[in-house]
Amino acid sequence: MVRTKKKLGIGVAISLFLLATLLLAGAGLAREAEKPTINEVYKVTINEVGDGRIVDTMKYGKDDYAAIKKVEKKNRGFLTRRFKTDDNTGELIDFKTDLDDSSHSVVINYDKPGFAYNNKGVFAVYGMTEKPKDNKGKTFTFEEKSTINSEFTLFTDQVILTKTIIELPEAASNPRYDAEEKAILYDMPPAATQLGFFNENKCLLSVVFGLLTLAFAGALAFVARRKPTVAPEAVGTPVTGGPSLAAAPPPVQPEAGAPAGETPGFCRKCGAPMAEGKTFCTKCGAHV
Amino acid sequence: MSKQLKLVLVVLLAVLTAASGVLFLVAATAGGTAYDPAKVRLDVKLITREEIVTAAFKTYGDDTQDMWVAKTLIRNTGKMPVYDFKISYKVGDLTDWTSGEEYPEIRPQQTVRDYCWPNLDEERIKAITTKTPVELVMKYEYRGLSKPVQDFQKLFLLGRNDFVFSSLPEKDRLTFADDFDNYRFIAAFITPNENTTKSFANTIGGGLETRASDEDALEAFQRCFDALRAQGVKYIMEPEAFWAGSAAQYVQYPSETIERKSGTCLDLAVAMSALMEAIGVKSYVALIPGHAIPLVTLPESGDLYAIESTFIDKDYALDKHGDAVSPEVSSDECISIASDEISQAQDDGQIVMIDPGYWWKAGVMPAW
Repeated sequence: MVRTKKKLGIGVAISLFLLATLLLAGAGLAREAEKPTINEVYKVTINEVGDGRIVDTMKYGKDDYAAIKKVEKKNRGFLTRRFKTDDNTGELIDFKTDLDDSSHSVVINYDKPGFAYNNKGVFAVYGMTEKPKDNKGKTFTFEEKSTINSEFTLFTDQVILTKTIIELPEAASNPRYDAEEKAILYDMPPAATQLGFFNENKCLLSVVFGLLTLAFAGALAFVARRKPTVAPEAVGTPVTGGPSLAAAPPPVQPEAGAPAGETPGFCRKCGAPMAEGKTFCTKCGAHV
Repeated sequence: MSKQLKLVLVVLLAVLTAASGVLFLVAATAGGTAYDPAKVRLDVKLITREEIVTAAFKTYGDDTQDMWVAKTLIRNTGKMPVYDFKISYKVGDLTDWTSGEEYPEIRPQQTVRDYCWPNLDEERIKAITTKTPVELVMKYEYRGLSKPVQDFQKLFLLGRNDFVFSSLPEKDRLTFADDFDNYRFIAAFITPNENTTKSFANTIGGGLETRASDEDALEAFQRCFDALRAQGVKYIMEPEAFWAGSAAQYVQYPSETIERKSGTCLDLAVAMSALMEAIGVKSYVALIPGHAIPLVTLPESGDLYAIESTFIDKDYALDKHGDAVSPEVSSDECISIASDEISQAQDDGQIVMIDPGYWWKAGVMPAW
């Protein structure tokens, strides 16, 4: 309430001032109580790619609702005019308004693509300046009281009690409120048709793993076909082109305990088995 | 090769063969196709504001405000995810390329809304005296793209004294507040820290406890009115189109009103608001049909007082409203007259109160 000031005699002035203060304070309070109050429920349902489906319900007092309805009837764009620009640019989709006489409410519906931001699978809904009042699973509820000059109502001075409800998608996990980011965060796996790293590097990985499979399979076949062999006990004669005599290992002596003059079980040169009593290898002719 | 070694090798190679075979199958049959930037399908739409209120240019760099200069809607309309998407902007020669936002992944059918809140160069902005066109450039790139893609749009910077009352098209202005859709920007014209304003205010507030005493704050309000009158400040009547809203109107900064010794009702209200703020008294500017009025809140009681600031010009007051005022046209009379005007506007529901302190905190900071 705006006050007036007049210079009068001190006594009269004080008396009038006190009276005026009481009257004006009373009038001020009355004016405060008359302020239109809107109960708003702003509900956002977010899908798998972060788009928001918004249903904004504003409930007015009976008389205020009647005034809005009258103006809307006369000016068809009254409720939509502040959304037109966003609607035209595609920031809002399927914008619709409805007047619900039974609850004295204005109901606004629209889709807002890109409501949540994706940061490598962690999605964020920003702009949540206050901590949630309630958080049940994937549903967060915020409450706020604000005063604002006319937005799309007829009233220049109004109180808005807003309940904001954010519903995360079914597939979301680890929902939490981040006070520093002033955001709701949640994890969202890629859609089933994508396989992240594999899908991203499909070509390279197919070639690499294909080649590896072939290489391992070839090696497996090679090893599997080799017969296991028993290592010769000693090799005394160098082969042509092999290491020099000086470098050759010393001749292996017969096994301790074997009787002298008896032939060993295998040719010392080629390793072929030898029949007992033979002094020449039947395979390579070496004298044993 | 011994039997044992062979067995170990066979088992090991069999395991490796099976594992790499499985991985090959996974890679070869992974959903969709391999990442191929040529198959990326993006719908990128750049949207810019038509006009920037230069006086409030700092607001456009504040990402907590809804006062972006440009925004881009990026929609992945294809089946291929987009990786490492980077976007940045440049506003003529008023900025370098912005540091740029990065989006690591944009999934098929996902939309990203990116906003441009540029830090405009103060020196260059100060030089803009008339409406000036400027080209905003947006560029983006993503993984596999050979060179960045650019898009351009033209926007206009208003002159440093220009103000547009409403951005709503005339046919969409249905309430009183619609006519003052941009009212918050008035706060940018209220410059209590500017030197001329400050030194003029000091001559008013001397010896008064304006921050603690109702009486002193009200005394300062009246002294401010009287000091502007003593300065010889005259009221200039606005042309009718001034309040029409769609075109830019010329608004003076307080220092200009003091130096030029004249101003419209809005200029005078803005000047008185700035002077009172400079000496620590909370002020407002009320916009009512076809008029603007300064107000103050007293520090102890919180009572509001308004004053008819156009009556600083005594000649105007006597000439046009002689039947409503005494020959002195005192500040007391002007407080009484303004109080009636404000009350009437409140009763009619036709008043917009601009709280500069609130809007400064909210980012609409004075530029000068």
